[in-house]
Amino acid sequence: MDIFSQLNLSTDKFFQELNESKEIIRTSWSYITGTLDAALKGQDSKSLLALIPYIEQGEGTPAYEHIGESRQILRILHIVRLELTYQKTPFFLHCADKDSLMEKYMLSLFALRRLFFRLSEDSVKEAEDWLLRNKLSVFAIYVIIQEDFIFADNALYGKIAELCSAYWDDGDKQLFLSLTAGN
Amino acid sequence: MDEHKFCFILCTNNDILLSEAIHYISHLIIPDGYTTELLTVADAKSMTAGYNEAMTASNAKYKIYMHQDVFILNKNFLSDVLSIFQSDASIGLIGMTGYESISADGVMWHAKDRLGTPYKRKASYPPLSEYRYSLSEDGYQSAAMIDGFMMVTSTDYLWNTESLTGWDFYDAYQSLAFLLHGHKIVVPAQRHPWCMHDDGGVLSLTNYNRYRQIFMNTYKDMLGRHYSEIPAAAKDEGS
Repeated sequence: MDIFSQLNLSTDKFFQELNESKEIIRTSWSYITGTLDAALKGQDSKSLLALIPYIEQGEGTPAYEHIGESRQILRILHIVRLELTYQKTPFFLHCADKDSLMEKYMLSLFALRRLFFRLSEDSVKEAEDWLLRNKLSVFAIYVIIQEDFIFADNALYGKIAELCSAYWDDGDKQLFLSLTAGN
Repeated sequence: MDEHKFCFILCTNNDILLSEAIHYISHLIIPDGYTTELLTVADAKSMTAGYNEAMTASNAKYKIYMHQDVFILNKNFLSDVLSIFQSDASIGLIGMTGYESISADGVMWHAKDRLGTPYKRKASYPPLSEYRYSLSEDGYQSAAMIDGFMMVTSTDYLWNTESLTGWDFYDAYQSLAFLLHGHKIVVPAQRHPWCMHDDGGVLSLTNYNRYRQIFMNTYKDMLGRHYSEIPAAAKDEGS
């Protein structure tokens, strides 16, 4: 069999399997979004955290493999798990449903990127204001930077440390320094 | 047609992403003597339908079709694409990433010869504030196909709404349309990526295979071919 035929065969197989998984993906995604909406409505952290094993090892893995938003949801859940473990204000506070949670995540990410890219003074100022208003934890900032498309440098870490010192306690500042020291 | 105008065209269904994409657009340096406009199409029936609606509504010579999750980082983006178009009148289409050949299975990214520089975490780029593209030193490479997250044109061809009723393969079809009309497609060499495409790292492929089959049937003679093997004389094929 020539190389083109082999490629076609494996591509056809991939799409056939994807087609057969469509319903499973839809069902697992629907479970994730439904659970998020219900848990956030009641600010139920236990139900929220139960989604981590569901996505990582359970029936939610098809959604994780095929739906990009599920990866950001998993990141948020890990942030929340760390925040609750260390008795910090959870990221989902004031988020009443999945859409508002995702909006907070996206705006946090965009603010951090604006700090990094420094498009203009106004752009940086808007980002600073957003971060000051929303009081993100060390865990939220660190996970977003590490996992979501920011090529951080010492200047960015320094800027964040300076900004967030307005609401981080000494333990937070120390933790952030130790997490970012090797970068 | 206004020869000194750029039009940004985005199909959108997410106000947060759109707003951020526009934030980066608003920071671009506009070349002297040129103007810009922005057209957004909310909840279009399909990518091709949305793009056609905006394309026919704009008299700009240069049109920048981009996804709502694309953030333009190179502040000199407009003058840089202009320098490329002006260097060779046969260049009709510029992309940020592309491929020299058409993959035998129709899946663009299965072609081995990827061009361009997608933004990657932990890659080593020159500082953005110091980066400046040079046409003579950096140059560009010719492509057979470019990725649809960013497609910059200097001439208008209708997007194929007849075959493409969803959100896939509009880029492959339009790339071939430009080649078959005798235009070159190029991808600039980017020491620093000109854009960030924040697609979440996962492609939505649930409807992709349907359009792949249509593409492969329509352009079966083109599959596996290098851009240099696609003659403009074949312009009526598949159109």
